[in-house]
Amino acid sequence: MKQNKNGSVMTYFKDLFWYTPHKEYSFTIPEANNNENATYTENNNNYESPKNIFPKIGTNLETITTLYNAMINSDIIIREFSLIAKNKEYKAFILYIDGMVDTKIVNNFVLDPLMLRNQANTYTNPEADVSKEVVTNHITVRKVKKFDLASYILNHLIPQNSVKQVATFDDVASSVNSGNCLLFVDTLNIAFDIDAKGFKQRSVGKPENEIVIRGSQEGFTENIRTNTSLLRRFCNNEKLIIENLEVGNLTKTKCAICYMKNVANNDLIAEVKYRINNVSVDSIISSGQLEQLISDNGKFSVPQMISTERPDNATNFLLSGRVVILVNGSPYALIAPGTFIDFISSPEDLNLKYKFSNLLKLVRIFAIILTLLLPGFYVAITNFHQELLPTELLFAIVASRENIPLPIIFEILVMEFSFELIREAGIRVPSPLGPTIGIVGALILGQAAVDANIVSPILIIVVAITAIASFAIPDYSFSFHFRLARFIYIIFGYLLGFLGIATCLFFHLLLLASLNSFGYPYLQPYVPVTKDYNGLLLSPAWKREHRADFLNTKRPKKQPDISMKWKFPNK
Amino acid sequence: MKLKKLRTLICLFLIITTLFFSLSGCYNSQNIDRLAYVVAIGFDVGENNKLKLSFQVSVPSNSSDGGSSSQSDSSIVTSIECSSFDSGVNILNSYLSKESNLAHCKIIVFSEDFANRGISETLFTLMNTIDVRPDCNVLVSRCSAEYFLNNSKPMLEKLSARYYEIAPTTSQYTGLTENVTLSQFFSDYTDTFRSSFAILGGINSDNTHSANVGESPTEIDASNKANETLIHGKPNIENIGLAVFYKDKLVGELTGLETICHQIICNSLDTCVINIPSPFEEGQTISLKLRLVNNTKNKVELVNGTPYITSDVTLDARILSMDENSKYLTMENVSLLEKSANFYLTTKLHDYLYKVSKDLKSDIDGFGKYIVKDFLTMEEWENFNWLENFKNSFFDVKVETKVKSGYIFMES
Amino acid sequence: MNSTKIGTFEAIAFIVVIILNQIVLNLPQNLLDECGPSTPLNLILVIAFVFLFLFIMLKLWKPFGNSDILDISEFLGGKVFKTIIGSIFIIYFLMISGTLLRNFTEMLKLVYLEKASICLIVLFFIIACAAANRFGFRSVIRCNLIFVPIVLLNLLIAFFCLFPRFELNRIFPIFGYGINQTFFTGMTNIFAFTGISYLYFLKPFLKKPESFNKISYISIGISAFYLFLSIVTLLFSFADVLTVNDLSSVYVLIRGTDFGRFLQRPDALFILGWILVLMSYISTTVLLVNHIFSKLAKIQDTKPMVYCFSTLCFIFALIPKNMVAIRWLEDTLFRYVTIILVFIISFCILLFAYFKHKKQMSYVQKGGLTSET
Repeated sequence: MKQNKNGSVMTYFKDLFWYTPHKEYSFTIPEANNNENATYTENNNNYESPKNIFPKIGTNLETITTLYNAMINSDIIIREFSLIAKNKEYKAFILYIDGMVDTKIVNNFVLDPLMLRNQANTYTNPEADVSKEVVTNHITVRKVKKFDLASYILNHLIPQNSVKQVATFDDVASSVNSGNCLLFVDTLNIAFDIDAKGFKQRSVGKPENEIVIRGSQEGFTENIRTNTSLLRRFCNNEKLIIENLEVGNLTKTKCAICYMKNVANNDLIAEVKYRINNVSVDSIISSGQLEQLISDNGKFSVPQMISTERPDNATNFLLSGRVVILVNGSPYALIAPGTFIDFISSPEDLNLKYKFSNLLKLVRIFAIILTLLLPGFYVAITNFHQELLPTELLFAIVASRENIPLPIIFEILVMEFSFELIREAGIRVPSPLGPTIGIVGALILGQAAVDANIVSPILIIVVAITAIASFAIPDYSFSFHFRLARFIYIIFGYLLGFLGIATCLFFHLLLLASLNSFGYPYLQPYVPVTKDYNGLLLSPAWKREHRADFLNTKRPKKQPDISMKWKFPNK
Repeated sequence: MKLKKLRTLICLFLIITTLFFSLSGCYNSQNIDRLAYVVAIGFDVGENNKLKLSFQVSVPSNSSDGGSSSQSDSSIVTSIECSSFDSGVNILNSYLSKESNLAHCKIIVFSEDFANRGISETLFTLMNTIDVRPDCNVLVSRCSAEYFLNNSKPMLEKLSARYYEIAPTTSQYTGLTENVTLSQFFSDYTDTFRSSFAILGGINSDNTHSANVGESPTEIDASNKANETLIHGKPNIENIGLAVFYKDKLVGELTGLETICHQIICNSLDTCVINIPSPFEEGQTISLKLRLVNNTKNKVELVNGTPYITSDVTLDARILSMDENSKYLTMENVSLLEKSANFYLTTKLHDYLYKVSKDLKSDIDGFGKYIVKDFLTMEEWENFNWLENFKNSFFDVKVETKVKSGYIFMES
Repeated sequence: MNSTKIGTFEAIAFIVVIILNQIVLNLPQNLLDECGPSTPLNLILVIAFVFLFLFIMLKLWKPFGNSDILDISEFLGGKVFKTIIGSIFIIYFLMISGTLLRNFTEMLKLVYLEKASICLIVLFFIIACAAANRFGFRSVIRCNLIFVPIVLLNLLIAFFCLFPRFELNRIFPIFGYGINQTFFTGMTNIFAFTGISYLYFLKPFLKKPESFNKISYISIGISAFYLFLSIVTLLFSFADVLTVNDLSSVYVLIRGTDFGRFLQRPDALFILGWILVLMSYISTTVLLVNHIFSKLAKIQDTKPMVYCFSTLCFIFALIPKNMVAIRWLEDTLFRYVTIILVFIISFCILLFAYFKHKKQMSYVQKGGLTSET
C-alpha cells in the first residue's frame, strides 16, 4: 500500500518534472533538384518501349501490363481466355478500361462468340481451305490455303461493326484510352481494336458549386467508376494510374488514388498511399471525412487539400504532378498537396487570357484581405487610431453614430453574427426561397437596424463589404477559414488596436508558414522561396514551360521553349 | 489524461483572457464616440495669467433626417485662461463632457501679441505632444486668436476642418501666402541657416479696413496684408502675407507682394498674378501671370566678412490684360514690356530683400545654406553666426522676364 | 534533417531584420548625435570598413568550412572557452533584443496604448515569440521572410515620400563636429552593424554553405543601404534632428510626411508593420540563442528551452528603470560591447584559429600522414 502510494507520488513527480522529448510526425519532400536545365521530351515514356506487337502472346501480355501498370491500376481490365478457332484453341486476352466500355457489348459480342463453342468457331470447311488442286498421277496434291487466323477471326468471329487491326503499341494505347476493347491473340502480331465504347453518360451532370463561364460543364458523380472514366477521358494517357484502396473497417469504401506515373513525385504518391492505407475508422462516407483524416494539421482550419467537383480541374492538377483522391459516393475529388495559391485560383483561370486571370487573382487576394482585416481594422481604428482616418471621414462616422446606443464592438459582433445567420439560414431554406432570404434578410435587417438607430450605416457598409469579399474567394472552405479568423481579429483589434491585430497577423502567418501539405510547405513558392515558374500570377500560355518547381516532378517541363512552332518554325 | 489537458487549456485561456481584458484597458479605451475633436487651437496673451488658449471643437452631427447625412458645421469655441498648454487641455477636458483629441487639429493660431513675446516654449510643447500633428498649419493672426476662431465661418464648405485645411493651399495659385506646417516651422526654427515664418492671417470685415491705399496704382491689390484688403462680404478669415520670426519672436510682417518676392527667391512660387506699370500709357497697369522657369540661382559670398548675395531670377510671363487697340505682342512691345517688368520686379525684390535683412534681420529665405559649404566644421559655422551676420548683407538681383504670349486674344 | 536548413533568401532576411528594427528605433539618431552633418561621410567610411572586415573575416573563415564561431572557439581553446564565448553571446543577444523590445514598447505605449501597462505589452511580444519558437525553426524563419520585405517596402515608401523636402545643403558643414570626430571617434558608429554577430552563427544552418559569402555581402549591403538611406533622409529633411533627441526619429519623420489628402496620417499603418517585424526579430533572436545553448549543452530537443529564453528576454526587457537607462544602454553600453565582442574578440578568435589551423596544416604536411586528427 505504502509502496503503491510512494509509487504514485513518484509518478506524480515524474509527470511534473520528467521530460520526454516531443515527437511529431513530420514528413517533408526532399528538395527539388536543379531543374533549370531540364529539357522537354515529347516522348511519353521514360524508357525505350517496344513499338510493334509481338507474335508471342506472353510477351504482349507483359508489355501491356507494364505499359498500363495493370498490377496496380484498378480500372485496367485484362481478361485472359482461350479462343477457339476452327476447333483449335489459341490463347488470347482482351484489354479495356473499366467504366469506358459497355460491358454488355464486350460480353455478348466479343467474349461470347470467341469463347463459346458454336458453329462459327468449330466449323471447318476443308474445301474452302483448298486453294488449288492439282491431280498428278492420281495423287491429288492439294495446296491448302495457309490458314490465316487474323482474317478468320475478323471475318467469322467478331460480330462487330467497327473492328480495326492495329500493329503498334502506340495505337493500342490510344484506342484503349479512348474506350475501345483490344483483343490480342497468340501467334498474331496484330491486335483487334473493337469499338465497345459505352460511357456512363447517364449520371454526369453540371457542377453545382464551382461555376465557370468558359470551361467544361461536366461534374463528378457519386459513382467512382464514372469518375475515373471521366478522368481517363480528360487525361487520355496510359500513364494515368488509378489505384484502388479500401477505407473504413465496416464500410470498406472504395477510394481511388489517381496520378500520372511519369509526372508525379514518387514520395508524394507513397505518402498519400501510406496515409490512406493507415486510416482506421469504421466508416468513410464522403471525401470531406477522408480529407480531415489524412491532412497534415487537422486542428488548423485552413484547408490543406483542394476539393473539386470538376474533372477538368482535377485533370489539370493531375497533369501538374499532383495526386487526385476519389471516394466512392462523393462527387468531390480531393487533390493533394494543396498550397495557398491553389486556393485563390479558380478552374477558369487557365481558360482565360492570362491578363484577365491575373487581374482576377489580384481581386481575390484583395478580397481575402478585406474579409480578414476590414472589421478588425474598423474596430481598432475607431477605438485606438482615430487619427488614421481622414478628418471628414471621421466626422462622418461620428455623426452617423450619434444616436447609436451600442458600443462599436458590440455593434459589429451583432451584425457579423446576424450575417452568418442569414448565410446559414439561406442554405437550409427550401431552394426556391434560398437566395431570396439572403437578399431580403440582409436588406430588411440592415435597413431596419439603421432606421431604428441600433447600428450605424457605416457599419452596415463594413459588414456588407466583408460579406461580399468573402464570397469572392473561390474555395469554400478557404473562405470559411477567413470568415472564422475575422472574429479573432475583431476581438484583438478591440483589445489592443493595431498591436492586437499585428499579433493576430503574426500568429496567422506563423501557422500558415508552419503548415505542410503532404510534405510541401503551404506558402510555396514564396516562403520558402523556390524558383517560381508559376506562382501567383500566371504567365502567358506559351510561356508555361515549367511545372511548379516545388512539386519536384519527374517531368519538370510541360512544353518546349518554343511551343508555338507554327510561328517560329526555324528555332 | 485528455480531461486534464482540457482543464489546463481552459485555465490557461481564462487566465490569459482576464489578464488581457483587465490590463489592456480596452474597457475604457478612447472610443471614437467619447472624443471631442479639436480642429483649431488659438494662443493669446491672457489678462493675468500667461496664456489664453482657445479651442475650436467640432460637433459633427447628422443634421438631416433623410438618407443623406450631411454634417452641418456646428463648432464651439472655448477660451481658457491657463498657465500652460497642457493644463489648458486638462481644463478643456473637464469643461467638455468628452475627452479632447488634438489629432485632427488643422491649424494653430498665434495672436500677434503672443508671437511678439516669443513662442519657443509653446512650439516645443506642441511638437512634444503626441496628439498634435506636425502637418497642421501655423498662422499668426493680426487680431486676437479667439476672435479669429470665432469668426472663421467657412462660406463654401460645410466643415470648418476642411476649410482650414484647404484655405492655405490657395497659395498655390495666388502666391500671396505660403502653406506653412508646424513641422516646417519647427525645422526652420531649429535650423542654423534660416529663420522661420508663418502664415499671416486675419479676419476681414468691413470695419477693419484702414484704407491703406498704396501710393501707386500698381500696388493696390497685392500690397496688403491680411485683413486689409477691400473685400466686402461676410467677415471671414483671410490669409495674405507672411509673419516673419527671428529666433522665436515675431519681428515683422510681409505683404502679399513681398510674399511673392519671397517665393521667387526661394523657388517655391507656382503661379501668381502681378500688375506692372504699363510702359505704353502713364498711370495704367498691365497684369501678368508669372511662373518661374528655372530655379532662382542664389549665390552668397563673403566680401570683407559681410555677405554679398546675388540672385538670378528667370520668369515666364503671360499677358492677362487686354484692351481695345492694344498690340502687346509685337517684337518691340514685348521687349518694352519685358524691360518694364524686369525693372519693376528688380525694384520690388530689392525692396523686399533689404526689408528682410535690414529691418527684420531675419533670413527667412535660407540664404545661409548657400554659404554653409564654405565652412568645414560645425564649430566654425556656429562661431560665424550667420543669423546675426545676415543683417549686414547686401544684394544684387537680376531679373529676366520672358513674355511668352497672351491668352485667347493675341491682339486687338 | 531538412527542417533546420534555411535557403538563401531566408538567411538574408534573418540578418536584415536586425537593422530594420534598429532603424525604426533610435539607431539613426544615435549615429547623427555622434557626427552631426557629417554622418553620411562618416557612414560611407564605416560601411567601407565593415565590408573590408567582412572580406577578411570570410577569408579567415575559409579553412573552417561549415562550422560556426562556437566550433572555431572550441578548436582554438577547448570546451571551456567555447562555453564562455557562447554564454557571452547568449547574454549579448538577449540584452540587445530585450532592450530594443523595451524601447519599442515605451514608444508604443506613448503613442497608442496609454492605459496599458508596459508589462502587458512586452508580454504580448514575448508570448508571440515563445509561440513562434514552439512552432519550430521553419515557421520562424519563413515568417521572418514574409515580414522583412514588407517592412523594407514600408520604410522605402516613408523615405521616398520625404523626398520633396530634401535640402541637400544640410550635409554642410562637411566635417560636422570636426575631422577627428568624423573619422576617428565617429568610427564607433560601426556598432550599427550588429548583424555581423548573427553571421557568425549562420553558416551551419545554410542549405548551400557555399553561398555564405554571397549572403553575407548581400545582407550587410542591404543593411548598409537602409541605414544610409535613413540617415540621409533624416538629415536632409529636418533640421531639428540635430538638436532634438526624438523618441523614434523615423516615427517622427513619418508623422511629418505628407502622404496626400486622403491618407493624411498613416503612421499607425507603418507601426503595424514595425510591430510585425519586431515580433519576428525577437523570435529569431530567441531561436538563435536557443540554438547556441543547445550546442553548448548538447540538448537534443530544444523546444522546452524556448520558454526559458523567452522569459529571460522578458526579464531583460523589464530591467531598465526608465527611458534614461534604456538610452544609456543603447547609446553607450551596446556601442562599446558590440565593438569589443563582435569586431574585436570574435575577430581575434578567427585570426588565432586561422593561424593555429595553418600551423597544424604545415605540421601535417611536414610530418606526413602521422597526425591525422
